Amino acid sequence: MEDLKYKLKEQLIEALNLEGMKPEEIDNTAPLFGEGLGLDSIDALELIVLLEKHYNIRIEDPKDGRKIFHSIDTMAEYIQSKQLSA
Amino acid sequence: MATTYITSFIRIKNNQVLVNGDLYFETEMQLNFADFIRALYKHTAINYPKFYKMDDLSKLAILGASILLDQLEDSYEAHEKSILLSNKSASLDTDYKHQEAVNAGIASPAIFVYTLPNICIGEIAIKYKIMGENAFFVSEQFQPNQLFIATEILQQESKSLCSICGWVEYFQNDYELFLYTVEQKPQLDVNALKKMPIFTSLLEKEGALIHHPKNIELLYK
Repeated sequence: MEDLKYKLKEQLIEALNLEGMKPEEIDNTAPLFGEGLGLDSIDALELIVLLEKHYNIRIEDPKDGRKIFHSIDTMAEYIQSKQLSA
Repeated sequence: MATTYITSFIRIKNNQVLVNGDLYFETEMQLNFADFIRALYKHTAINYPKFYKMDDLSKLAILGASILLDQLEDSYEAHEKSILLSNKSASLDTDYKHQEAVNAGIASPAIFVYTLPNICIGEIAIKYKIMGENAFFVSEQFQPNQLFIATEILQQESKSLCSICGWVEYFQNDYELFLYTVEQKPQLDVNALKKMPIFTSLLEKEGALIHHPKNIELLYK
């Protein structure tokens, strides 16, 4: 699980062009949007693309995005649950 | 009819930045655009993380505008400022990148949102809270007369008291920026221009840089 979270952070930094940021600097529990990394609506779309591109996971209901993309922890849990049920 | 003046200008080309004719920044060696613009961003000390998310055209435009607007005594209301830009390649460089992403199977929203040239105007407007008129013209070459007419219409109808105008071109690592501000008061520090022989007689005659296509052309060259 920790490996997945670290990899996820690396992918997030690359996909969202978070220049100068290192995976270690992203708190697993911190909110990705708003006060956390300050991501915006375009970043949210990029995260949907990231899940599809790297994990072959398609989010069927956009409303689920808010919960899934809350933090690195919630993203990793969602990916793992999808992989286990596949 | 109000007299309008060119009150500051900036050129970015060949790893060099000139502001009002003075050297502002240059790199010791020739860098590609990505390295050059990152070095310029760090030099300006503008803390604007969104910069890294922009496409190359917007990166060039936002840094050029930021450096230029720092020269300005900004006492204008948001709706009194306008932005009139132009270039040759529109957003073609980003259009290609978007096409490549589509061909690879999944389009990137972050790339797609920059597939219009006037997005770079939006980036400037967001950062500097500019809410006046704006336009982006696409033409084979820089056309001072076209920008002059468009700017004068806004200035003379009092739709704008401060216009940010010019040329911002980027395509596959080739870049060129020339921006200038037009206002109804002569703010430009002419001392820098006096060092340039081409302006000596002009400034002696007019005392300031009048907004005129010939003067725009002179600054551009």
